[in-house]
Amino acid sequence: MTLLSVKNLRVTFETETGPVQAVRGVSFDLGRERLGIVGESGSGKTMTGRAVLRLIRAPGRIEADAMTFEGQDLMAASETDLRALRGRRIAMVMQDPKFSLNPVMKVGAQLMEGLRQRDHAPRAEARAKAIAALQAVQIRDPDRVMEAYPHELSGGMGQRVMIAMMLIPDPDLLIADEPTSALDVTVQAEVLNILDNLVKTRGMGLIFISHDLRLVARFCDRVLVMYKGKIVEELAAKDLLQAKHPYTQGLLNCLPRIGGSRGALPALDRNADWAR
Amino acid sequence: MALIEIENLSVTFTTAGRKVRAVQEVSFKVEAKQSFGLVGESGSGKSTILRAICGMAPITGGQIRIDGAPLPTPRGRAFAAQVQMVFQDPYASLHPRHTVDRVLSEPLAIHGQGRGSDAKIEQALVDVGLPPAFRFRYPHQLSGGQRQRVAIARALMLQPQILLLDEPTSALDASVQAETLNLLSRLRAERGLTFLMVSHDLAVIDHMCDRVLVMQNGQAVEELSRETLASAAMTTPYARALFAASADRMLEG
Repeated sequence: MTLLSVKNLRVTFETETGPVQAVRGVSFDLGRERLGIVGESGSGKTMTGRAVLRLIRAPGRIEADAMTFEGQDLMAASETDLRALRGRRIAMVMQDPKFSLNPVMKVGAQLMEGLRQRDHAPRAEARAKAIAALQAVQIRDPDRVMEAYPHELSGGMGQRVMIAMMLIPDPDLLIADEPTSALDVTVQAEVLNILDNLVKTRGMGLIFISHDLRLVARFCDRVLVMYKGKIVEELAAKDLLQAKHPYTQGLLNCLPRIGGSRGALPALDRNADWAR
Repeated sequence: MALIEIENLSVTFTTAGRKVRAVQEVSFKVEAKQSFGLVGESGSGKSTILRAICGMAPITGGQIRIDGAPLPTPRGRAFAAQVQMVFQDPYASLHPRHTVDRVLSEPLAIHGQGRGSDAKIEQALVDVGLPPAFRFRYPHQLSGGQRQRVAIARALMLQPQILLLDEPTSALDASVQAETLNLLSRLRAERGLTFLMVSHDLAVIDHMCDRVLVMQNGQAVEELSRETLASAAMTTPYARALFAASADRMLEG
């Protein structure tokens, strides 16, 4: 069943030197599965994720032939409709907990804010739900974390708090924008396992945005490879090593490997036909 | 005799009356023209060792010797001419209001080598694969990869023997990382440089370095040769865990 359907999405920014298209005609359908979007910086992957929630402010402009979430037209939705969707139905985990959590508010208060404001939950119930969410992301001493400020948490803990926050309203679709790129490899693996379990047990759809092809290959079912605002290749994650497009192959080959050759790493040829 | 000798090095920071032992009795040696890697999670003390060598961290025990001689405090010009550092984030390490020209000419002026600096700066840009026309640009007019090239050119202005590389590619895209690593390998081969490189990415360290020291919580865990790493013959559980979590293992799934 299709959860989200995007047809010919375009994101344009007006600049002094004329309009710049950050996303140029992206189409995809998402069921209750894990979809990866990979690309370098500037490829439009983050803008695609934000456009789904219509989180692009003027002078940015979102256009699409169609963008529907469970039958609801996202392009025609009013700001009020969108408020009801954002967080509750479609949640987004941002890249860096250092910049996305409120630095002067205790973690517990931030977790409970949505429950208190949106669901008008009584204080005790909100607190119980917040603690349960922290336990779901495997934070061992949730009581301490509830009373901590964001700067008192490590990067991995901060990222778990962000994931917990997004999961409290039990959304149908989670958009994770580079959720682990600020983390160490060992912590990264833990956070990914947590996300993976949540997606499996709750049957959510997931859009996983990352620049790390290897990570996406291990973690997702399907991968979209973006370059300069366009999807250059779509393939099942397990077939990534058999990628046909020269850009995908280039991205894979330019990574060093343990025990690999010490020779020069192959660089991407940006002058080829496909790069235009 | 090894070019860089670190013996029982300890670094302790004191914050709000609390002592943080960032590096605890770490020892290793780097031979001339070798490339040595330090790998570990954030907070393992790997960057602190580089900063201690440069005199930017409070050394509370042990010794650092370069070419057999203990380092003077403060480090002084002779040290700067011999040892230079490339930092992690090219967005933060270049002065936003200085042109490339000013960034590159400053070390020459300080060391009284200003004569003929025009030619030297243009040559330095060509050496790192940038067009000479970039000389009068500001950092914001460069991409991340180009900035890191400028940072490498700056470090090489005084023709040092030793480069300290603190996560030189972790702020860059995979393809730009490949180009930057290739540049560093080429410069090392051409100039006979000695590298001491810090990274959290075991695959990058393996590609660049002959030997690796795995660190955790400020302590040395295990020193690995390239062969040991490739054949996964590490003996400590932590080095094994790091190897297992390394991104390039994921494709083999």
